[in-house]
Amino acid sequence: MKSDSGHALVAAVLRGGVALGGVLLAIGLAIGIVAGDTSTPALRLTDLFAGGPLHARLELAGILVCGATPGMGVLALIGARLRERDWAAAATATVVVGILLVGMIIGHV
Amino acid sequence: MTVGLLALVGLVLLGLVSGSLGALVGIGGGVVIVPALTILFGFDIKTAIAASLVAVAVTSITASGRYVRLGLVNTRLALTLELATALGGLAGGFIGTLVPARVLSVVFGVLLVVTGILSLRGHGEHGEHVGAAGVERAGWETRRPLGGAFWDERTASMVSYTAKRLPIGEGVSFVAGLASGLLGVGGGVLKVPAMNLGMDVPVKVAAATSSFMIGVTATAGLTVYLGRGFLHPGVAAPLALGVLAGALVGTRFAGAASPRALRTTLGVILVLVAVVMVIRGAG
Repeated sequence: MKSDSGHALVAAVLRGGVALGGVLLAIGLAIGIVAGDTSTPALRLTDLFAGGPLHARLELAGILVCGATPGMGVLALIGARLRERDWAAAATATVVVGILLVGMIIGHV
Repeated sequence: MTVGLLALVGLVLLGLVSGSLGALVGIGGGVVIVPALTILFGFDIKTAIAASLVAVAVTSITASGRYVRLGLVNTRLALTLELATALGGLAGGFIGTLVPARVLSVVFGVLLVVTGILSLRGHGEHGEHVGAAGVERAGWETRRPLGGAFWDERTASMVSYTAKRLPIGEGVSFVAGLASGLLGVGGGVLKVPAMNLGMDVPVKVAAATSSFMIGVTATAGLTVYLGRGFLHPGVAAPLALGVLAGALVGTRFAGAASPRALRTTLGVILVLVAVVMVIRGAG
């Protein structure tokens, strides 16, 4: 059975993530260079709105967008497969997301 | 930590090279970026791995954004294999304290030498040309068996394929996940030859599908490094921008490249990476 309805949706999510993430990274880098501040403190997720210089937080925002985009792509795939009633593919994608979440939680502990 | 302007330019250039090659052959480049950041730039290993994971994610989304639209990525195959990779990554986290990373680095290196030689010698041009007339120039997937078809720019025809010997792909993907959990690499260097040589998937589909997979794997690792405070945006950002530009260039060339050229490029990269891994393990 032919099926490619999920491709357009996933491609749109991935390309959107690249565009937004790329713009944030470029602006952050440009501000740092113009301001002559090339310091790079280690930042955590919680520093996005509070800690560190503006350029570093913009760069962090870009990194977060790029890092979240593959996961958003998989979520888009799950939606597409559910719409096609391809339960096996949707279940496989859901289990993958579940295992990755468990891995992230274990990694943080 | 401060990154000087010269180092900043160097990071962009490293990203450009890594992104273009990674997008072309379906690897994230972590096994090249991490040694380069530690040896050439002097960053500590955890900062290097965190920046490398960002680079892998950017290579993945930039390349697979185009490949998915062209129908080159087999998303069902990707997630079926990613299941094994994710399990391998979890297992790697658990057994990391039992197996010394040096030993695994050498084993991984030897495995890469073997797959590199197989890629250089192999006959990996799989798939059947099914003609050009009256077909849409976008690929599709089949549910069972896992397979599909894609538009081959080089021959101007649709190529259909079926993924065979799924257990081989699952097994190698598990090992790739294990390596990812233990060594901080994406595992694309193993997945592409596994799909192409082990499962008879055309090399262009194998590279594109691997591009999609490595982003998912890298994201999981990145959250861990971010949570533990090892991410320096000033190191990762210029690298990521270089990777983004490089991956855009790499995907333009991939469509028109011959399968043989892609396999040869992959084989050479595999052997070079293997040497780095063995040296790291022995050192």
